[in-house]
Amino acid sequence: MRTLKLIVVWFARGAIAITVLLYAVLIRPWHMRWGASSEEVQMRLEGDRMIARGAIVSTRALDIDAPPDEVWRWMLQLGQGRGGFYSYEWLENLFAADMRNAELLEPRLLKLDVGDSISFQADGPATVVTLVEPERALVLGDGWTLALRRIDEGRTRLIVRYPFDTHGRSLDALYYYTVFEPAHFVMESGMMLGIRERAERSFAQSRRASGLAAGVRP
Amino acid sequence: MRADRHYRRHLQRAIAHEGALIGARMTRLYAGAFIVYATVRVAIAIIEAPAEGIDVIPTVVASGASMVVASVTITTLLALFSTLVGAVSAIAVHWLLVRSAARGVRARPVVVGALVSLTSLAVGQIGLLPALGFSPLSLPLGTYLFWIGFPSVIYIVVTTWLGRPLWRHAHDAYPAGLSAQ
Repeated sequence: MRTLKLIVVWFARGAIAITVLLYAVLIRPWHMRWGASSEEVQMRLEGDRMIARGAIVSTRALDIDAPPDEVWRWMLQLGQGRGGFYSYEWLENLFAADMRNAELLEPRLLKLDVGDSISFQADGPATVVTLVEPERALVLGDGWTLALRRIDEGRTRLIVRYPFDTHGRSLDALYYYTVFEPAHFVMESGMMLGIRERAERSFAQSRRASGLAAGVRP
Repeated sequence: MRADRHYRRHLQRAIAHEGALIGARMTRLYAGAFIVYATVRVAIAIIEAPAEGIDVIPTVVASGASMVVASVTITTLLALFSTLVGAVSAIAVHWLLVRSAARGVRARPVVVGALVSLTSLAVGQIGLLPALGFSPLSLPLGTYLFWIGFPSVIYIVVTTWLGRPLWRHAHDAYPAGLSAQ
Protein backbone atom coordinates (compact mmCIF):
# COMPACT_ATOMS: atom_id res chain seq x y z
CA MET A 1 0.00 0.00 0.00
CA ARG A 2 2.82 2.34 0.94
CA THR A 3 4.72 1.46 -2.24
CA LEU A 4 1.62 2.08 -4.35
CA LYS A 5 1.15 5.45 -2.66
CA LEU A 6 4.76 6.36 -3.38
CA ILE A 7 4.37 5.34 -7.02
CA VAL A 8 1.23 7.47 -7.39
CA VAL A 9 2.88 10.48 -5.72
CA TRP A 10 6.02 10.27 -7.84
CA PHE A 11 4.02 9.64 -11.00
CA ALA A 12 1.93 12.78 -10.33
CA ARG A 13 5.05 14.84 -9.58
CA GLY A 14 6.78 13.54 -12.73
CA ALA A 15 3.71 14.25 -14.87
CA ILE A 16 3.51 17.83 -13.59
CA ALA A 17 7.26 18.39 -14.08
CA ILE A 18 7.10 17.05 -17.66
CA THR A 19 3.99 19.15 -18.42
CA VAL A 20 5.65 22.33 -17.14
CA LEU A 21 8.81 21.56 -19.14
CA LEU A 22 6.85 20.80 -22.33
CA TYR A 23 4.82 23.96 -21.77
CA ALA A 24 7.93 26.12 -21.54
CA VAL A 25 9.82 24.53 -24.44
CA LEU A 26 7.11 23.62 -26.96
CA ILE A 27 3.62 24.74 -26.04
CA ARG A 28 4.23 28.36 -25.06
CA PRO A 29 6.07 29.32 -28.29
CA TRP A 30 3.22 27.66 -30.23
CA HIS A 31 0.29 29.22 -28.38
CA MET A 32 1.81 32.71 -28.44
CA ARG A 33 1.10 32.66 -32.19
CA TRP A 34 -1.84 30.26 -32.22
CA GLY A 35 -3.14 29.98 -35.81
CA ALA A 36 -1.16 33.01 -37.00
CA SER A 37 1.23 32.96 -39.96
CA SER A 38 4.72 34.51 -39.76
CA GLU A 39 3.43 37.44 -41.85
CA GLU A 40 0.59 38.03 -39.39
CA VAL A 41 2.96 37.92 -36.43
CA GLN A 42 5.13 40.59 -38.13
CA MET A 43 2.19 42.56 -39.54
CA ARG A 44 1.50 46.04 -38.18
CA LEU A 45 -1.92 46.25 -36.59
CA GLU A 46 -3.99 49.29 -35.63
CA GLY A 47 -3.18 49.12 -31.93
CA ASP A 48 0.58 48.62 -32.26
CA ARG A 49 1.43 52.26 -31.57
CA MET A 50 -0.15 51.92 -28.12
CA ILE A 51 1.97 48.92 -27.16
CA ALA A 52 4.70 49.73 -24.66
CA ARG A 53 8.26 49.05 -25.71
CA GLY A 54 9.45 45.78 -24.22
CA ALA A 55 5.94 44.38 -23.79
CA ILE A 56 5.47 40.65 -24.32
CA VAL A 57 3.15 40.24 -27.29
CA SER A 58 1.03 37.35 -28.52
CA THR A 59 -0.62 37.26 -31.97
CA ARG A 60 -3.36 34.73 -32.65
CA ALA A 61 -5.49 34.30 -35.74
CA LEU A 62 -8.47 32.40 -37.07
CA ASP A 63 -10.57 32.18 -40.28
CA ILE A 64 -14.28 32.87 -39.99
CA ASP A 65 -16.84 31.88 -42.62
CA ALA A 66 -18.68 35.19 -42.39
CA PRO A 67 -17.98 38.69 -43.79
CA PRO A 68 -16.31 41.34 -41.57
CA ASP A 69 -19.56 43.23 -40.87
CA GLU A 70 -21.09 40.09 -39.36
CA VAL A 71 -18.03 39.40 -37.17
CA TRP A 72 -17.82 43.07 -36.22
CA ARG A 73 -21.32 43.07 -34.72
CA TRP A 74 -20.36 40.29 -32.34
CA MET A 75 -17.13 42.09 -31.44
CA LEU A 76 -19.09 45.22 -30.52
CA GLN A 77 -20.93 43.27 -27.81
CA LEU A 78 -17.74 42.28 -25.95
CA GLY A 79 -17.60 42.89 -22.23
CA GLN A 80 -19.02 41.84 -18.88
CA GLY A 81 -22.56 43.13 -18.47
CA ARG A 82 -22.73 43.29 -22.27
CA GLY A 83 -22.46 40.22 -24.52
CA GLY A 84 -19.69 38.58 -22.49
CA PHE A 85 -16.38 37.49 -23.98
CA TYR A 86 -17.80 34.38 -25.71
CA SER A 87 -15.20 32.30 -23.89
CA TYR A 88 -15.61 29.78 -21.06
CA GLU A 89 -18.07 31.69 -18.86
CA TRP A 90 -18.20 28.90 -16.23
CA LEU A 91 -14.43 29.35 -15.78
CA GLU A 92 -14.70 33.15 -15.66
CA ASN A 93 -17.52 32.89 -13.14
CA LEU A 94 -15.30 30.92 -10.75
CA PHE A 95 -13.49 34.25 -10.38
CA ALA A 96 -16.69 36.22 -9.63
CA ALA A 97 -16.87 37.60 -13.16
CA ASP A 98 -20.66 37.22 -13.37
CA MET A 99 -20.26 36.67 -17.10
CA ARG A 100 -23.10 35.73 -19.44
CA ASN A 101 -22.23 35.06 -23.05
CA ALA A 102 -24.82 36.35 -25.49
CA GLU A 103 -26.15 34.00 -28.12
CA LEU A 104 -28.02 36.74 -29.95
CA LEU A 105 -27.14 40.20 -31.22
CA GLU A 106 -28.72 42.89 -29.12
CA PRO A 107 -29.29 46.22 -30.92
CA ARG A 108 -28.62 48.25 -27.73
CA LEU A 109 -25.09 46.78 -27.54
CA LEU A 110 -24.09 47.34 -31.16
CA LYS A 111 -22.39 50.63 -30.48
CA LEU A 112 -18.97 51.21 -29.03
CA ASP A 113 -17.03 54.47 -28.92
CA VAL A 114 -13.52 55.48 -27.93
CA GLY A 115 -13.48 56.03 -24.17
CA ASP A 116 -16.20 53.47 -23.42
CA SER A 117 -15.39 51.11 -20.60
CA ILE A 118 -15.32 47.32 -21.06
CA SER A 119 -15.42 45.29 -17.85
CA PHE A 120 -13.82 41.92 -17.29
CA GLN A 121 -15.62 41.28 -14.03
CA ALA A 122 -18.68 42.55 -12.14
CA ASP A 123 -17.48 45.49 -10.01
CA GLY A 124 -13.96 44.53 -11.06
CA PRO A 125 -11.21 45.55 -13.45
CA ALA A 126 -12.13 47.18 -16.73
CA THR A 127 -10.38 48.48 -19.81
CA VAL A 128 -11.11 51.40 -22.11
CA VAL A 129 -11.84 51.36 -25.83
CA THR A 130 -8.91 53.20 -27.41
CA LEU A 131 -9.65 52.81 -31.12
CA VAL A 132 -12.67 51.88 -33.20
CA GLU A 133 -12.32 51.33 -36.95
CA PRO A 134 -15.65 49.79 -37.96
CA GLU A 135 -15.37 46.34 -39.49
CA ARG A 136 -11.57 46.56 -39.30
CA ALA A 137 -10.22 46.97 -35.78
CA LEU A 138 -11.21 47.32 -32.17
CA VAL A 139 -8.42 48.30 -29.79
CA LEU A 140 -8.79 48.02 -26.02
CA GLY A 141 -6.49 49.43 -23.35
CA ASP A 142 -2.79 49.57 -24.17
CA GLY A 143 -2.99 47.83 -27.53
CA TRP A 144 -5.15 44.72 -27.19
CA THR A 145 -6.20 44.61 -30.84
CA LEU A 146 -8.95 42.59 -32.47
CA ALA A 147 -8.41 43.12 -36.18
CA LEU A 148 -10.53 41.92 -39.09
CA ARG A 149 -9.19 41.35 -42.59
CA ARG A 150 -11.48 40.37 -45.44
CA ILE A 151 -10.33 37.16 -47.15
CA ASP A 152 -13.11 37.10 -49.77
CA GLU A 153 -16.81 37.90 -49.99
CA GLY A 154 -17.92 35.55 -47.27
CA ARG A 155 -14.79 35.01 -45.18
CA THR A 156 -12.81 37.03 -42.65
CA ARG A 157 -9.50 36.64 -40.87
CA LEU A 158 -9.68 37.52 -37.17
CA ILE A 159 -6.27 38.53 -35.80
CA VAL A 160 -5.91 39.20 -32.07
CA ARG A 161 -2.79 40.79 -30.63
CA TYR A 162 -2.33 41.08 -26.88
CA PRO A 163 0.53 42.95 -25.21
CA PHE A 164 1.55 42.54 -21.58
CA ASP A 165 3.98 44.99 -20.06
CA THR A 166 5.84 43.64 -17.04
CA HIS A 167 7.46 47.11 -16.55
CA GLY A 168 10.71 45.21 -15.97
CA ARG A 169 9.48 44.05 -12.58
CA SER A 170 10.40 40.49 -11.65
CA LEU A 171 7.20 39.89 -9.66
CA ASP A 172 5.05 41.02 -12.60
CA ALA A 173 7.06 38.78 -14.92
CA LEU A 174 6.67 35.83 -12.56
CA TYR A 175 2.90 36.40 -12.38
CA TYR A 176 2.72 36.84 -16.15
CA TYR A 177 4.63 33.70 -17.13
CA THR A 178 3.20 31.36 -14.51
CA VAL A 179 -0.43 32.46 -14.19
CA PHE A 180 -1.61 35.16 -16.58
CA GLU A 181 -0.17 33.99 -19.88
CA PRO A 182 -1.28 30.33 -19.73
CA ALA A 183 -4.74 31.34 -18.47
CA HIS A 184 -4.97 34.07 -21.08
CA PHE A 185 -4.26 31.62 -23.90
CA VAL A 186 -7.13 29.39 -22.77
CA MET A 187 -9.54 32.32 -22.46
CA GLU A 188 -8.48 34.20 -25.60
CA SER A 189 -8.53 31.15 -27.89
CA GLY A 190 -11.93 30.34 -26.35
CA MET A 191 -13.09 33.89 -27.13
CA MET A 192 -11.91 33.64 -30.74
CA LEU A 193 -13.68 30.30 -31.20
CA GLY A 194 -16.77 31.80 -29.56
CA ILE A 195 -16.80 34.81 -31.92
CA ARG A 196 -16.34 32.49 -34.89
CA GLU A 197 -19.12 30.15 -33.86
CA ARG A 198 -21.60 33.00 -33.33
CA ALA A 199 -20.67 34.96 -36.47
CA GLU A 200 -20.86 31.87 -38.68
CA ARG A 201 -24.19 30.87 -37.18
CA SER A 202 -25.79 34.31 -37.53
CA PHE A 203 -24.39 34.73 -41.06
CA ALA A 204 -25.79 31.34 -42.09
CA GLN A 205 -29.16 32.30 -40.57
CA SER A 206 -29.26 35.66 -42.35
CA ARG A 207 -28.29 33.99 -45.65
CA ARG A 208 -31.07 31.46 -45.20
CA ALA A 209 -33.52 34.23 -44.34
CA SER A 210 -32.55 36.35 -47.36
CA GLY A 211 -32.71 33.25 -49.58
CA LEU A 212 -36.21 32.52 -48.33
CA ALA A 213 -37.26 36.14 -48.86
CA ALA A 214 -36.03 35.93 -52.44
CA GLY A 215 -37.97 32.70 -52.92
CA VAL A 216 -34.86 30.52 -53.07
CA ARG A 217 -34.91 27.19 -51.29
CA PRO A 218 -32.27 27.10 -48.53
CA MET B 1 9.87 17.06 34.30
CA ARG B 2 12.24 18.53 31.73
CA ALA B 3 12.09 15.29 29.72
CA ASP B 4 8.30 15.43 29.84
CA ARG B 5 8.28 19.00 28.56
CA HIS B 6 10.74 18.07 25.85
CA TYR B 7 8.53 15.12 24.82
CA ARG B 8 5.42 17.32 24.69
CA ARG B 9 7.18 19.91 22.56
CA HIS B 10 8.40 17.20 20.23
CA LEU B 11 4.89 15.75 20.05
CA GLN B 12 3.35 19.16 19.32
CA ARG B 13 5.83 19.68 16.51
CA ALA B 14 5.10 16.26 15.05
CA ILE B 15 1.34 16.90 15.22
CA ALA B 16 1.69 20.34 13.62
CA HIS B 17 3.86 18.80 10.91
CA GLU B 18 1.31 16.08 10.22
CA GLY B 19 -1.55 18.65 10.11
CA ALA B 20 0.46 20.84 7.75
CA LEU B 21 1.18 17.91 5.43
CA ILE B 22 -2.49 16.94 5.34
CA GLY B 23 -3.48 20.56 4.61
CA ALA B 24 -1.05 20.80 1.68
CA ARG B 25 -2.07 17.36 0.39
CA MET B 26 -5.77 18.26 0.40
CA THR B 27 -5.05 21.47 -1.55
CA ARG B 28 -3.10 19.51 -4.16
CA LEU B 29 -5.86 16.92 -4.46
CA TYR B 30 -8.51 19.62 -4.85
CA ALA B 31 -6.40 21.37 -7.49
CA GLY B 32 -5.83 18.05 -9.27
CA ALA B 33 -9.57 17.38 -9.39
CA PHE B 34 -10.15 20.90 -10.74
CA ILE B 35 -7.47 20.52 -13.43
CA VAL B 36 -9.01 17.24 -14.64
CA TYR B 37 -12.54 18.72 -14.65
CA ALA B 38 -11.52 21.98 -16.36
CA THR B 39 -9.33 20.27 -18.96
CA VAL B 40 -12.07 17.83 -19.93
CA ARG B 41 -14.69 20.58 -20.13
CA VAL B 42 -12.48 22.91 -22.21
CA ALA B 43 -11.44 19.97 -24.45
CA ILE B 44 -15.11 19.12 -25.13
CA ALA B 45 -15.82 22.77 -26.04
CA ILE B 46 -12.85 22.90 -28.44
CA ILE B 47 -13.77 19.58 -30.05
CA GLU B 48 -17.40 20.66 -30.47
CA ALA B 49 -16.42 24.03 -32.02
CA PRO B 50 -16.07 24.29 -35.83
CA ALA B 51 -12.62 22.80 -36.45
CA GLU B 52 -11.74 24.42 -39.77
CA GLY B 53 -8.32 26.08 -39.74
CA ILE B 54 -7.36 25.13 -36.18
CA ASP B 55 -5.25 22.24 -34.93
CA VAL B 56 -7.80 20.67 -32.61
CA ILE B 57 -5.63 18.14 -30.74
CA PRO B 58 -2.65 20.50 -30.21
CA THR B 59 -5.11 23.18 -29.03
CA VAL B 60 -6.66 20.75 -26.55
CA VAL B 61 -3.20 19.69 -25.31
CA ALA B 62 -1.97 23.31 -25.08
CA SER B 63 -5.10 24.37 -23.19
CA GLY B 64 -4.73 21.47 -20.73
CA ALA B 65 -1.02 22.16 -20.17
CA SER B 66 -1.73 25.88 -19.76
CA MET B 67 -4.29 25.15 -17.09
CA VAL B 68 -1.84 22.84 -15.31
CA VAL B 69 0.84 25.57 -15.25
CA ALA B 70 -1.53 28.29 -13.97
CA SER B 71 -3.14 25.95 -11.43
CA VAL B 72 0.19 24.66 -10.10
CA THR B 73 1.28 28.23 -9.35
CA ILE B 74 -1.98 29.17 -7.64
CA THR B 75 -2.01 25.85 -5.75
CA THR B 76 1.51 26.44 -4.46
CA LEU B 77 0.39 29.75 -2.95
CA LEU B 78 -2.82 28.32 -1.52
CA ALA B 79 -0.92 25.33 -0.11
CA LEU B 80 1.05 27.75 2.08
CA PHE B 81 -2.22 28.90 3.61
CA SER B 82 -3.67 25.39 4.01
CA THR B 83 -0.40 24.22 5.55
CA LEU B 84 -0.85 26.82 8.27
CA VAL B 85 -4.55 26.00 8.76
CA GLY B 86 -3.74 22.27 8.90
CA ALA B 87 -1.01 22.73 11.50
CA VAL B 88 -3.09 25.01 13.74
CA SER B 89 -6.17 22.77 13.47
CA ALA B 90 -4.22 19.61 14.34
CA ILE B 91 -2.71 21.29 17.40
CA ALA B 92 -6.13 22.59 18.46
CA VAL B 93 -7.76 19.15 18.13
CA HIS B 94 -4.92 17.50 20.02
CA TRP B 95 -4.93 20.18 22.73
CA LEU B 96 -8.67 19.72 23.35
CA LEU B 97 -8.36 15.93 23.41
CA VAL B 98 -5.42 15.98 25.82
CA ARG B 99 -7.12 18.51 28.12
CA SER B 100 -10.32 16.47 28.23
CA ALA B 101 -8.34 13.23 28.74
CA ALA B 102 -6.31 14.80 31.57
CA ARG B 103 -9.58 15.71 33.31
CA GLY B 104 -10.82 12.19 32.90
CA VAL B 105 -13.37 13.13 30.25
CA ARG B 106 -13.64 10.77 27.33
CA ALA B 107 -14.19 13.32 24.58
CA ARG B 108 -15.30 11.86 21.28
CA PRO B 109 -12.57 12.63 18.72
CA VAL B 110 -15.13 13.10 15.98
CA VAL B 111 -16.99 15.72 18.01
CA VAL B 112 -13.76 17.56 18.87
CA GLY B 113 -12.61 17.52 15.23
CA ALA B 114 -15.96 18.82 14.02
CA LEU B 115 -16.03 21.45 16.77
CA VAL B 116 -12.58 22.76 15.87
CA SER B 117 -13.29 22.90 12.14
CA LEU B 118 -16.73 24.51 12.47
CA THR B 119 -15.45 27.05 14.98
CA SER B 120 -12.50 28.04 12.79
CA LEU B 121 -14.74 28.34 9.74
CA ALA B 122 -17.22 30.49 11.65
CA VAL B 123 -14.41 32.71 12.96
CA GLY B 124 -12.90 32.98 9.48
CA GLN B 125 -16.04 33.54 7.46
CA ILE B 126 -18.21 35.49 9.87
CA GLY B 127 -15.52 37.27 11.86
CA LEU B 128 -12.13 37.58 10.19
CA LEU B 129 -12.96 38.07 6.50
CA PRO B 130 -15.74 40.65 7.04
CA ALA B 131 -13.41 42.48 9.45
CA LEU B 132 -10.88 42.68 6.61
CA GLY B 133 -13.58 44.21 4.40
CA PHE B 134 -14.40 41.08 2.42
CA SER B 135 -17.76 39.42 2.69
CA PRO B 136 -17.66 35.83 1.42
CA LEU B 137 -21.46 35.65 1.34
CA SER B 138 -21.57 38.46 -1.22
CA LEU B 139 -19.80 36.21 -3.74
CA PRO B 140 -21.81 34.58 -6.55
CA LEU B 141 -22.80 31.03 -5.60
CA GLY B 142 -20.39 29.30 -8.03
CA THR B 143 -17.45 31.43 -6.90
CA TYR B 144 -18.32 30.87 -3.24
CA LEU B 145 -18.62 27.11 -3.65
CA PHE B 146 -15.36 26.80 -5.58
CA TRP B 147 -13.15 28.94 -3.35
CA ILE B 148 -14.84 28.55 0.06
CA GLY B 149 -17.75 26.09 0.07
CA PHE B 150 -16.14 22.87 -1.20
CA PRO B 151 -12.77 23.52 0.53
CA SER B 152 -14.71 24.09 3.78
CA VAL B 153 -16.51 20.76 3.42
CA ILE B 154 -13.17 19.02 2.80
CA TYR B 155 -11.70 20.81 5.81
CA ILE B 156 -14.57 19.73 8.08
CA VAL B 157 -14.38 16.10 6.92
CA VAL B 158 -10.58 15.89 7.25
CA THR B 159 -10.43 17.64 10.64
CA THR B 160 -13.22 15.44 11.97
CA TRP B 161 -11.40 12.37 10.73
CA LEU B 162 -8.13 13.72 12.15
CA GLY B 163 -9.61 13.51 15.64
CA ARG B 164 -9.21 9.72 15.72
CA PRO B 165 -5.42 9.35 15.31
CA LEU B 166 -4.89 12.34 17.61
CA TRP B 167 -7.14 10.75 20.20
CA ARG B 168 -4.73 7.81 20.23
CA HIS B 169 -1.90 10.25 21.05
CA ALA B 170 -3.98 11.68 23.89
CA HIS B 171 -4.77 8.19 25.10
CA ASP B 172 -1.05 7.31 25.12
CA ALA B 173 -0.26 10.46 27.07
CA TYR B 174 -3.08 10.06 29.64
CA PRO B 175 -4.12 6.41 29.68
CA ALA B 176 -5.25 6.62 33.30
CA GLY B 177 -7.56 9.56 32.65
CA LEU B 178 -9.26 7.69 29.84
CA SER B 179 -9.46 4.30 31.43
CA ALA B 180 -11.04 5.91 34.50
CA GLN B 181 -14.16 6.49 32.35
